Amino acid sequence: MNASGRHLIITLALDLPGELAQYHLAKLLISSLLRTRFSGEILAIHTAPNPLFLVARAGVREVRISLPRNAPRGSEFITFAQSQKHEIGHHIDVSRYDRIMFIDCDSVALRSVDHLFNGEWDLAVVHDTGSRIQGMYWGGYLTDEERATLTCAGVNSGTFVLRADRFHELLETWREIERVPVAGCLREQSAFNRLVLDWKGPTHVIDSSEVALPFVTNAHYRDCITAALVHAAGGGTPEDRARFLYGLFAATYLCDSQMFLFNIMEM
Amino acid sequence: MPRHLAYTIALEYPPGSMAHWTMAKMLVLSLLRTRFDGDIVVFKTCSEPLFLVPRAGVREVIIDAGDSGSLHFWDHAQAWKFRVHEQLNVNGYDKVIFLDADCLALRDIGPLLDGNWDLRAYAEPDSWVGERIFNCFVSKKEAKLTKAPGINGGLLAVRAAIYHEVMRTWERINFGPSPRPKEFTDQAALTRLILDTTLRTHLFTRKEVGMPLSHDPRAQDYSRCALIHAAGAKSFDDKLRFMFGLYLSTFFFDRQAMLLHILDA
Repeated sequence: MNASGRHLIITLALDLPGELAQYHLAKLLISSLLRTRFSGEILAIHTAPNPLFLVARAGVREVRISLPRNAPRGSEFITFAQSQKHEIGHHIDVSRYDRIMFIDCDSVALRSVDHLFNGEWDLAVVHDTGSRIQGMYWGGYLTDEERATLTCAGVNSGTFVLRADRFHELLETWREIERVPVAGCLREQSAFNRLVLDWKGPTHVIDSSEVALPFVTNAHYRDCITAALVHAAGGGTPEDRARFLYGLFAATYLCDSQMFLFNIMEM
Repeated sequence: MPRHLAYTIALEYPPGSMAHWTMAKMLVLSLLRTRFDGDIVVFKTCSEPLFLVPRAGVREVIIDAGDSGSLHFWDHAQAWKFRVHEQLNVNGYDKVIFLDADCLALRDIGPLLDGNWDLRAYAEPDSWVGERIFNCFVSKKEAKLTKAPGINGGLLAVRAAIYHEVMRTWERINFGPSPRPKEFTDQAALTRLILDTTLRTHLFTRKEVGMPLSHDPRAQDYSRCALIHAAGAKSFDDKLRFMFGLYLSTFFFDRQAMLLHILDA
């Protein structure tokens, strides 16, 4: 399968009423994907009252959803929002695509991600390099034996690519796993790790030079800026993460040798 | 309130380049935006003013850097850090701080200049005077006997009353004899100066000054510093991009992502 296939990138931005932090992050991500000339389509699912772009962008579809009335507030909202990743299937007609990539909205593309769709696999995932899958952010659904024997890194649930015809299967399995309560943080990510361990079909680990997780892996800034995608997971508040990603976005897309924008703003 | 003076130099090479001009402009703006309440002087070779609308408290001085002669241009240029002292009247100031143009203030640097000391310099983390980039004024034998750190040549704060004396010393060491071939001369000379000084020296801490492109690569660390120094980039383009990104994320970021929405409506 190659980059000439029909591909879709999905992101999800859920904000509590009156907040727009995830909406801004999603806009930054999509703007970056468009600037890298992503060849596929993009779907943004968000809760904001306004569209991401006043001037609609070709290849970008926005789906506005409402939060359920009983959606939790405060820190529990984060857990709720993360678990909504596997509730988005009905917005997607998978028959139109070869491969689908999910990207957490606290990410930014610094160069083309087209090549991340290539390869003979059904599911491609990103490791939290340096982690151990037994950790509290990944290992909630491990068996006792797996806790004792596994030596692999944890998988980050914020970026993955899979064959479109297995997309619904993945979401359903993910949802089923997460239904069982477990201790630990990031239950949806633990459930995703369980899913990946049990996945029937060829899997692939995307190289850490392609998807950087600077706040999880302590990657050097220099390595960060050569990645195709930077995911700011673990980078503090949404504002902290947005500020960091905004800096990368500006450095990548708004900086030229004449410092045009800078000199306009700072005459 | 004590008054402070900050200055930088922006010498261009090759002629026609405006790279250091741009960095100096970014540095000055970052100082102004963080409400540095001292005066700022920029020594530069480019005749183009930094600001079409002059900023209060900022003075631009055009210098002729002259011929570098047998020196590599950058060695020649770096020496202007201390050579410009003759053009600075520091009467009435409490402290004077020199900043390389590739520094950026993320917070007010005023508090870094408070206190009862004569000199503040930045020792590079985990460095040693015997390393190549610090050692040309330190013999092999002397280096073996010390664990003293190397001092970064891009940042030096001095009590104004002894500023000229310190700069003359820096210059004398820089152009004086050395036990090893000269390279990174200004930095090595400052390292020698700090090794020998009996002045009250108070090193900048890593929480005050970050070097994101070399020693402090984690955003959660360098973004909390008052000042960053972008030394250590692989290329000038990388350095400028980094500074620009950090500048925008520090001063042009708000919770409404206003600029992003204007640029990408």
